[in-house]
Amino acid sequence: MTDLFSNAAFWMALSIGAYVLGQRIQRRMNSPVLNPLLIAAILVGAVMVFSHTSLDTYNQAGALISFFLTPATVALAVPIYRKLDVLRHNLIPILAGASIGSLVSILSVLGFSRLFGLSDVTTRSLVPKSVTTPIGVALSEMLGGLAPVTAIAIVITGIIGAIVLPTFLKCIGVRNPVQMGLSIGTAAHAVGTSRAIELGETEGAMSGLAIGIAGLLTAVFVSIGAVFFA
Amino acid sequence: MKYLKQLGVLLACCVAGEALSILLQRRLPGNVLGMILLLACLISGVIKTTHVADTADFLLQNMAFLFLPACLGVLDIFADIKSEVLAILAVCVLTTLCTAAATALTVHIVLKFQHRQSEEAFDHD
Repeated sequence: MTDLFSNAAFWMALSIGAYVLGQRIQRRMNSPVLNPLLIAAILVGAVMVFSHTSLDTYNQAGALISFFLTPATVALAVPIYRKLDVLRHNLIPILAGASIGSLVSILSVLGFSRLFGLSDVTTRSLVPKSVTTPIGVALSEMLGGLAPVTAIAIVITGIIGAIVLPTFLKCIGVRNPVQMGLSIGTAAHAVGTSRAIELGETEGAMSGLAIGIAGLLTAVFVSIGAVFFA
Repeated sequence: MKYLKQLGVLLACCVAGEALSILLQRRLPGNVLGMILLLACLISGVIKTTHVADTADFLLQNMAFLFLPACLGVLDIFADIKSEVLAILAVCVLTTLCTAAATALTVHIVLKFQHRQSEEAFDHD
């Protein structure tokens, strides 16, 4: 049994299986609270705790999964290119929305972190929490934050976004699919996008577009901020 | 074979982005630069969508799954951040709502402004 729990293929299969199961459960129950990533994390995490498996052992499989985040980030250029027409047509609202959204994200993290008395290192780690992991982690390291804290804040943000944002945005009167998708993607990156895709084709495409644009803009804002406040 | 070739193209963009990031003294992350490079190549026609689309779609459709190892990272750092966990959660919830609302509001205002301008232009005709 111990051998099985140190086998990378076992953890890879379990990770995929748990995520697929999570997707099935969400589809069956039709409830956004049952986020597939959250279900998978709880299932795999429980097996790790029960089998006394260390994160290092899991990461023999985990590193393989995380590796694909970088090409996936680069691949974001493809939906942007496909929606180049919509982007050109709505260039100003999209750029304005993603810019203000990214700025508000950074500033509200600084504000609320101070309000809740978070330490300086934790605050630095949370600044890029609305963008996709590879970009966020790179920015966190640039700012002197802790990469694992950033990674978890990003995942929490994505799950919260996927669960809450479609309803929240509808409540504040958002009806336009471009506006809906862009807001979800800017605030909750790829995990939010996986939910936006379910709302509709335009919502999904705009949310996917926003991951790239908001990620890029946040990187620019953080870089400028880092130079000014260094 | 198709998927492997396309992954190769995507990885080439990752490497080029990383090299550019080093040249720019790490002011922007390599993956962001890689994304810009791929977009530039697609627009200029150096790379065609068919050279990357299948693998790109596969990765993007399953992007949330790629976050799983980062999620499990909590097992290792939970002890360190235990005292701040509730505050971190609160910050994440509140800032996510602020960000989405700010984005939606900005798009709304800009669309309304553009709409009014085009109506005015219409009136002048």
